[in-house]
Amino acid sequence: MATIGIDLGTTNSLVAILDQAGPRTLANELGEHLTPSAVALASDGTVLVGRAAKDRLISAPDSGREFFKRDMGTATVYRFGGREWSPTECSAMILREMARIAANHLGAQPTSAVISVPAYFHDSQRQATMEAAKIAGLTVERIINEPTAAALAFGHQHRQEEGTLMVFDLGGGTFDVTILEVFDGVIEVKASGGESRLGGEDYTDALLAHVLTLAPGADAVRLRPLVEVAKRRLAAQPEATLTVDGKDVKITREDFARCTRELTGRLRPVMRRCLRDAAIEASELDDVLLVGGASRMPMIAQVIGEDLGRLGNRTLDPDKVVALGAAVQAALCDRQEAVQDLVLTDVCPHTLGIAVSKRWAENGPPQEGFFSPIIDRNTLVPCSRSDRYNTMHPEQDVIELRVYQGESRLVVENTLLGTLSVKGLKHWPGQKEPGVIDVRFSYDMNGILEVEVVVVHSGAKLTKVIESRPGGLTADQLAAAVKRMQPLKTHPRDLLPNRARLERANRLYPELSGAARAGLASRIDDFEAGLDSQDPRRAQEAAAVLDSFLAHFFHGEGEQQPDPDPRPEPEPTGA
Amino acid sequence: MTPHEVLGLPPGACDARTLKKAYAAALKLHRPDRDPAGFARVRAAYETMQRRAAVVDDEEDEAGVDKPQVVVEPATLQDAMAELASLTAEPLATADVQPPAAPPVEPPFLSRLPPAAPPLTAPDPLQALRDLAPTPGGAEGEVLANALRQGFAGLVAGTVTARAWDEAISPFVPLRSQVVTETFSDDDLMDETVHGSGIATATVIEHLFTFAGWDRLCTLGQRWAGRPPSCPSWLSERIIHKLAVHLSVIDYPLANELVLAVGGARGLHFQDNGSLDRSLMLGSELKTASVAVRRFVAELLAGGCDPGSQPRLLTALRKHLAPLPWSSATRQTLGARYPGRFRPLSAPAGTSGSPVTVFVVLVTLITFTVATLVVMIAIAIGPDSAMSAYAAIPIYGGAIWSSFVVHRRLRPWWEQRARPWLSAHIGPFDLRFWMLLLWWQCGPIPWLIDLCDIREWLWWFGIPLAIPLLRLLRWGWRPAASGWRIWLADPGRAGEVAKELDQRHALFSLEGVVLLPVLLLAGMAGTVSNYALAWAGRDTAHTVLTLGMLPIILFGLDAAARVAVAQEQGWRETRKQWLVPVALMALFIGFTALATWLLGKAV
Repeated sequence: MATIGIDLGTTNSLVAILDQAGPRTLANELGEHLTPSAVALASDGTVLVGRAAKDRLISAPDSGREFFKRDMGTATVYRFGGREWSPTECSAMILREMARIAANHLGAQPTSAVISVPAYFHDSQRQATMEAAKIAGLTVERIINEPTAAALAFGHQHRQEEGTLMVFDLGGGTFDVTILEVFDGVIEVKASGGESRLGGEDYTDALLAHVLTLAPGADAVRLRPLVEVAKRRLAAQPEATLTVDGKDVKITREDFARCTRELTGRLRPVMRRCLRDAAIEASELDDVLLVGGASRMPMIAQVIGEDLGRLGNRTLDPDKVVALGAAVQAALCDRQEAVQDLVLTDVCPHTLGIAVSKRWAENGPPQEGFFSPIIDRNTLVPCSRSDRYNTMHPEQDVIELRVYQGESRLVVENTLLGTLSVKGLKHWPGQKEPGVIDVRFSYDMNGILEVEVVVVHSGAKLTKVIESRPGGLTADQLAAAVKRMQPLKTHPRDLLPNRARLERANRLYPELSGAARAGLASRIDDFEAGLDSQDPRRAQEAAAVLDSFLAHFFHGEGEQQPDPDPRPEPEPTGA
Repeated sequence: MTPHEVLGLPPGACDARTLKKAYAAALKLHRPDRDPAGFARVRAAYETMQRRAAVVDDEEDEAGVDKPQVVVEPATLQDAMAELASLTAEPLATADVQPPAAPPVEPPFLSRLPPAAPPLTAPDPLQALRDLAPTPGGAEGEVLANALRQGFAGLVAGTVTARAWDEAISPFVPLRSQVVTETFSDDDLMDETVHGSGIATATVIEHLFTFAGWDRLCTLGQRWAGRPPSCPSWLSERIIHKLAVHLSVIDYPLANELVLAVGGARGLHFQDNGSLDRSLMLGSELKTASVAVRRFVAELLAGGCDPGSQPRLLTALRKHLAPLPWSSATRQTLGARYPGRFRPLSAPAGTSGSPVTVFVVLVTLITFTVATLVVMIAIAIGPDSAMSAYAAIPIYGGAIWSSFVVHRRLRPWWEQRARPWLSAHIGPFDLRFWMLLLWWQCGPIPWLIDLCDIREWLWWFGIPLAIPLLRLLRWGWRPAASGWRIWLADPGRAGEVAKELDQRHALFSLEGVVLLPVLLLAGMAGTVSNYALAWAGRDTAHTVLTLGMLPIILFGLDAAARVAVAQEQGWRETRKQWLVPVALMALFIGFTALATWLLGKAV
């Protein structure tokens, strides 16, 4: 089965394959190539993904979630549908949808995929993406950086060309800049940089805030899609009008530029740093490739015009180019003939290192929390670098190695990737080089870091792929998540709302007496009987009766009781 | 393999286009994802060749167009070394060949080393700083102004690393003059703050804040007040820190609370010495406090703070901090809730290693010596004068040694001269061990007097044997681990080993941790048994003294050693660490004095 390429975006996701005609994106049943990255639960409990979910989120914002890509690799938990969802699980649902779309076209379920992530995604975000794929039942052949994917798509189409290229990727939630050199089928990434929390959605938010100042009191949730449309319209027209509560609000490009000036201001330093890292001048660039839907905004053209002195290249569809590149990479992973003359070399976009302590004076107290880089940013991958460290005191037996990523001198401002404990470092008389360790970092093509520690005097080795990280799933949790993705087969009684309702009734029971208690008891019995009967209508009616009874006692406490059985047809349980 | 071979190029120089073609071809054979080792090789060869090309280009530029092209081969150190190695491998082939003519005998690679880093696109602003480091007697202000201006000119966000900036700025730090602040118009700072970002700018601002005085801070605060969105959070935090640093001169605990409250989220607080420290502290209380203080600072900046209003500011700040959960009781609760993350804030009074502690220990030792002297005089004029003489040896020895260790002038003499000499000539010099041995070896006198007493046999030989035995248990049979073995094998290193052993013994050794309580119990048991014997009519007054003194000496010495080591290592010890041995010592002084007095009465 061929490997598919997936662009798992903040706002929209795409799936693409490479066939005889070249790379192409695949459309879903609605004929849309872009599937919104949104997940929601319908009122009957059906899981909605894509367009349907996005629509559902407008009428019922609490029933699902979008933009979860921004929370990948963190311990964030969303609550909807009476359950907790991690960003990884939400992404897994999108990936499964992508696989399903691909299966519709290919005729068979794909098993492996190349997934694109922003270049500025760090280790735990990449790991979380891989976990999501695992939950969705896909083997990840490669995690590819989005701008690199875009360059690959470009390189695939313009094989004979050569030159230096900047990929300016402003997506829904992330901003990446990558500088590449393309020659003879070699696509060499020279430098990568970016911001992981800056994208089109931030522009929409800023514009929404602006519109809210013009039309105070409007419902922000309902207004947002209108603002989104207005934002897109501004890319083509000098002004856009939207109707808020029956009033027309006019927004001009100037307004838009003014209210997002600060966001635009954050683009420039990233571009400059990237140019500096690649040791080239803006004038040496041969082309600027615009990627990501947000790069269509008028300000972007202005920034690129002012800073780089050229117009951006939009010959490839900014929305699709990443997915196309991912499909090319997928073909590379499958060793397809059509792409054998392409070679991609990538760089590690962040500085990786460990936390160290220092002494200001020879015998002064140790000062903690300094960052000691081991792999500098923009080092060509795969790469492996090592450095030597020692204990602070002869009696120190353990080094708690904390692995960080970031550019700051102090580790508190960098991102902790994981920790590793090295023991047996206490000095003994007669040891050669006591208390000294060699720390080796190996960074692979997927952007996954492996740390190897060698205790110099004993030669003892310790290897670890960074695993413990915020929001990471253990093997058990992973298995559980995979299981959870299967169709739900729980007894209605165990669904959280029903459980909560029963608990509440049980709590009230001892406090009542006489007729009230008897009344409550009969209502609970009815409800339980309703649940046991597996008949949703009966359960719902019983729940309504019970709720109306409970409401007298819990007035003003907690939320309204949710729907008792959010499924259309309950699955038959065993005998 | 030479780079040429790896890339499949003919020997000799080649142009960039050919090189790239060769590299692309080689890459298709050694793809980074399938053959990482091969890829690394190809890449290294490619980079080497690129550097060579750069060198050739440079030389062309220098030589001018009309001069003939010199093919630089070998051009890298590695190649040159390889060539050198091949030359030495075939000495006969080359020995006869005399070099034609005699141009400068400089090896080619020395003069033609490729630059270590790719050439910078702009002049290095940091180098400008380094070059302009102030010279004594120079026109300080002007030089500094120029230097910093140049430094700033090149400092677009991210140009320099924080480390490089630190190095470059370090010559200026001692000046701490107003010059720096005066040289900068506020606009410079403003521009840098508004347009720049990243660590370099942060570091610059931080340094300027270090230089800036209170007045300057106020001015800056006023200027920034009008632009809350462009004032990044790290900047407001730095303003707060600066504020706190100023406050710490006036009101240390208040400053500490301010920093702690603000730093709650970031994990900052004041150390005892007044410098800022970062440690991880969490908790909603801290965040609440942080928010409250941020609001205060925002008000402060918005309202403008004039330099003369320090007292008013303090009052306002106190008022603001009062409702925050910073009572000492709350701190204890927080400490219990976040163990290891929450350090008590007040500087511990009489921290060990401080002059106060040294004073306390010295006074205790002197008191102890005087008390012992009194006791011994009482015994000397009493029934048993001979025995008191040898009991005095370790007591005075201990006191004198402790003084050596603790006294600031005597200690270097002891460390650098006396002990190395003793170690080299006598053996690894763990003085306490020797002192004990000496004391016990005074035993033959009573032993000769009282040959048949099995108790004394055990006492005089058992314990001296037990010490090496216990050391053995602790250190094992490792040949290198035994100071004695090292001394026997390599007397030159004996001093070093002795120092190492002695240092660790002071706080961590068996002597310190296990042996002392054991000896304490033995001493008490011995004393009690001797009391019984004394009542039975034996001559035991001296035994009481010696037995009772044993733990006293050990504890005294241990306390002194702990202080010494703590001083040496710059550790902060808790009061308990020295208080316990000193208290036990005092207890035994009382105990022995009482016992002697009672015995005297009885006899």
